[in-house]
Amino acid sequence: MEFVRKGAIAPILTLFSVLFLAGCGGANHPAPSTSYVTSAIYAFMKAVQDESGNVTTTVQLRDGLDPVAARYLYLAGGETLYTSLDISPRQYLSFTGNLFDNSLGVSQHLKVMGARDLYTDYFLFNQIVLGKPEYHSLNTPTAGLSPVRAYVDFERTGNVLSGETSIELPAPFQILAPASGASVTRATPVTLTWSNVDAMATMRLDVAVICDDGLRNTLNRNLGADTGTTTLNSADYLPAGVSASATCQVAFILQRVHSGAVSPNFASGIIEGVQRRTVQFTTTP
Amino acid sequence: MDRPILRALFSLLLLSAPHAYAERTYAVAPSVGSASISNMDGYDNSACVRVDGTFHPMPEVGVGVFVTSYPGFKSSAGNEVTIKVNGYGVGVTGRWPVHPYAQPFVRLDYMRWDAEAKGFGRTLAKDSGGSPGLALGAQFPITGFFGLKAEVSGYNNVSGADIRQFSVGAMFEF
Repeated sequence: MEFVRKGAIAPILTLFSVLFLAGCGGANHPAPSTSYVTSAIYAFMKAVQDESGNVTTTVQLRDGLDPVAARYLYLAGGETLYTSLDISPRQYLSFTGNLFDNSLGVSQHLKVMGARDLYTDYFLFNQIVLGKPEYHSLNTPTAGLSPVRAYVDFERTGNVLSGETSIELPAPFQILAPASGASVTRATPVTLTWSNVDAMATMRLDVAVICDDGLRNTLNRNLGADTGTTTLNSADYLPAGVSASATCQVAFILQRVHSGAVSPNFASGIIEGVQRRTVQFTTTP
Repeated sequence: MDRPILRALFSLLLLSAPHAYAERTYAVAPSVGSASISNMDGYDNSACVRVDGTFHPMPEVGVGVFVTSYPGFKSSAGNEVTIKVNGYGVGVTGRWPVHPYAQPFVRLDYMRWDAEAKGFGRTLAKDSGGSPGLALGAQFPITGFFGLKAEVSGYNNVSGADIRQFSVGAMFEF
């Protein structure tokens, strides 16, 4: 036929090759969890309790340590990530008598993690990285029970729980200054203070800024040991090139962090227990 | 005892026997209904089906057996968990023929049950046991053979649940 002349075949083959390679994906495309034994999976987990008292748990499964170079894994073949508070998923799923009461506990307190693209909530805006799956769930602690222990477990094919990991959340705290909704001039350093210092914890500060000239910025700073106070200048967090007359909305997202190891069944990883408090204020010229 | 008196008593016994036999009846009563859990929130109602077989040595009293099934109490919030209960048992019924077409009854029975909880794509657990039950209802004979019935009944501590149910059914008595 006319279109199979030698000259026409080469570009068609090239096109098919490109499409084939694109379909197969490069090294960074997500891969199914079923392609990896547990001991080859790197797990990164975080349980964050905020002002509401609820605990949001996120889990990333990867085939390596490097968050940029590693493949992110998505759950396949009926594999599931569970979360719970204070009682492990394994305990929730192992009961014998009193079916109505025990089943109700399982139904209401054991959460199946849902999938989404890598997501960061900066309160003033969100940041989503497409094509990198992470898993998340929301658990409500039992009122009055403190401290809270957050559990994650990984159920592999055949209903085998193989990745029990837990972390005790740090003590809650409150941001004392600046006041929510305060207005601060750029020239004035902002002193952030908080209550209930925990010498065993480290502090992390995320800052999100959005200005009325359209510029925005994020800053992630490790504050080190918990001292109850830190001071920032506006130059630390305002977007580069921001207009001299711009007014900016600022969110200080302060996190108290405890770190722990994930189940030894995984290749490696980390779990963080986090208390997160947020304050928003305005920076004026 | 004198021979004539013995003859008279024996004659009376023979005369009364057909009468007594005529009042013995058997009843089969299939019924369907809706069952709820009264001692905890968090479950939707389950349908229930039941078949009773009762022997009435006299119209006012019956002894019977039954089989029953609750196909699924589903959790109403959170992840779906379903509990299925199957049971069987024996009971004693007392009924009062206050009217040709309406006969209230009370039944005491004992149910052996097997319960199975499913959720998260698996059988979570199984349990079995026994629970006493109480039913109050009414039978509504339409013909000598066929009637309807309605009842409320309950069983306590069926794997932790107090089950309350309302059911309606047919009744075949012969």
